Amino acid sequence: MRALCWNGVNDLRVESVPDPEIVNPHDVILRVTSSTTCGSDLHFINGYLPTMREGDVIGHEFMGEVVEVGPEVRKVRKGERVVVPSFICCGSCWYCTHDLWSLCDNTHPKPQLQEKLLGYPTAGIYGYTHAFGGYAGAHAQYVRVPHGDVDCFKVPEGLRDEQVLFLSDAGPTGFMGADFCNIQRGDTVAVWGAGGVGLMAMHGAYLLGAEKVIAIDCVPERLRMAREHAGAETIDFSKVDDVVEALKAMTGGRGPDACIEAVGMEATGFGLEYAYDRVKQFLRLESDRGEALRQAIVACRKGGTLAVLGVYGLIDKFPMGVLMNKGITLRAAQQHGQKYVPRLLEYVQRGELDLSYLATHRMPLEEAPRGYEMFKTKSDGCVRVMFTP
Amino acid sequence: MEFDPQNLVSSVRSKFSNGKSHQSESQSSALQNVGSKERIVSALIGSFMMARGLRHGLIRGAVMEFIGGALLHRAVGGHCKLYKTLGINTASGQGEKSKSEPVEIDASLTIQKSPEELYRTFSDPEKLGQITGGWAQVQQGSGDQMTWSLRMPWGKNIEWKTRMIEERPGELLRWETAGGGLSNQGRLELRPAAAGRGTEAKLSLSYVPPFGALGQRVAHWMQPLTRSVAQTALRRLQSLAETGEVPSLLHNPSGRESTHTTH
Repeated sequence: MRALCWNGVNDLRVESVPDPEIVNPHDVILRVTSSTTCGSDLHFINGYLPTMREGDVIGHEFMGEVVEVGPEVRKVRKGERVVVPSFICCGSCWYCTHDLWSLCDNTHPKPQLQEKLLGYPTAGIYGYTHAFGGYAGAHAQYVRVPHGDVDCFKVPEGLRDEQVLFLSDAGPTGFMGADFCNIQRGDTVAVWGAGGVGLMAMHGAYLLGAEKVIAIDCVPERLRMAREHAGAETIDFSKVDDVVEALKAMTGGRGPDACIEAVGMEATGFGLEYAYDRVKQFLRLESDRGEALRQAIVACRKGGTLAVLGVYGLIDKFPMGVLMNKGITLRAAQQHGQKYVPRLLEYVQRGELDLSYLATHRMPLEEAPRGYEMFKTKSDGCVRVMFTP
Repeated sequence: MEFDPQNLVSSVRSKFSNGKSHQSESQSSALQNVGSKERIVSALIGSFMMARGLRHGLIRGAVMEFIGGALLHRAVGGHCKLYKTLGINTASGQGEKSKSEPVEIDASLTIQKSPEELYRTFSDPEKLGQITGGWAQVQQGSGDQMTWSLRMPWGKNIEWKTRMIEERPGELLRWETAGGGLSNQGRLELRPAAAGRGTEAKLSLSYVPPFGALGQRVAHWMQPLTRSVAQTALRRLQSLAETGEVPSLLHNPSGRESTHTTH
């Protein structure tokens, strides 16, 4: 089959690789119908996340048609159209049964790679480094989905791929961020980053009852999307002197009740702090550029909530004292997708959520390296590229 | 960094003793026992091993990752648990003699199944084969005897037989060597965890290393690795008991087996 492979820093190629096979009794094989770029992929494409190997098939946000099922698969049937969360979950361990899906105990084939750093291993992910399991990714014609009955969600009749595709990762990740904020009537929620995850966090905040949502970014098309599709007020941080002051001005001096960080370890900024982070990260003295995260901590109102959705390494210069003195509740996780996908599918069916506008560009899988280049440079107004194998 | 009341006491004392410099030196050297040159070498070798480890299969890869990670860890912190255990200190040049004793390791994991079910899974030779599948083969012999074979990195197998010496269903399994290469004892203890949290499983292994004093040193050096093997066995027991399968990367598609085509 054809698949998009990582061959080194900034070296992606579409190659012919062996087809996946049923390995374990609960496995399902999908023929991928659509997959999409995710900002978190850029971290290992740019060389900031270790444990990739030459030849790894990447991609973790996808949907497809079931073409083969293992002997122990009971619910999922051949021919069904399904969407699959990017974290592989067993559905039986303590974490899965407590809706903490991305912490699943039973889907990491190489737990020793994580144990030293995290203390305990997490669930595995498709196509996202060997530290996260080493599974082949989904920018391919076919993909093996372990625990098919748990991880495949049937797509209701009449929905198009672009309406459903983003429920694989950006949708549940963003919605989880809003869910973490424990939104009360009258709350203002500020969201850093207006990419796929950030935009979904804005939709989520409104769906969960926020009074006002404020988006912070510097890309004009993305800020326009935040206004037009997600109904947010916007701050272009390249145009204001001080984001924190701007947020105060927009919230009667209180500050946002909750802040959602949807940026991650390669934040962009313009000041001295950005230059400092940039140099340190380039020299590999730190793994993260954390300007957005630090800003969110300062901007958040006293006693507010901060939800971190961006991917980080071992960040330094983390303002713990600010967090502590302001009594901020910090929530963070990789997506617990299996908890949210059924609910999000209902929103989509009822017409209350339509993320198809995220797919600003579409191309065949064969052109995926060009697609990732556009996505990375955010050229031509690119928010997400949708690939068709 | 480990908390050591002795260090705390000595550091408090040094603050009240006219600030004699040799005391604070001796305190820092109690924590750091790897010399600076050695730390640089550790960092280089550790990074290299972690990068190379990814290219190898489950066992060799895991071994390289583990050793690489440990080397990086000691390079960053300047503290080596192994050196502490052996009483070696290349930071200050001081050292103590190591003691010889049988090697004991254990690992624990909480699993969402009853002690009885875990006991049955572990006693089933076929499933035990899956649990140890990554590093050792197990075959049921006559009666309660089992034959184990461990493939060594240099290609030769070490074989030994074990027999059960205690079986308390749902609580305890204990076995010991009944002949062969490696004299060892093992036990699996199972007990219910609090408030519906499943079962706490503890796997303990102890063995007398071969080749006398040299073997003793090697065994001590290998201790973190053998512990990791025990931990892996428990994780496989967990996955098998909770889901009926062990996570696998068999036939995992990648460009490493492909004919490269340009794009």
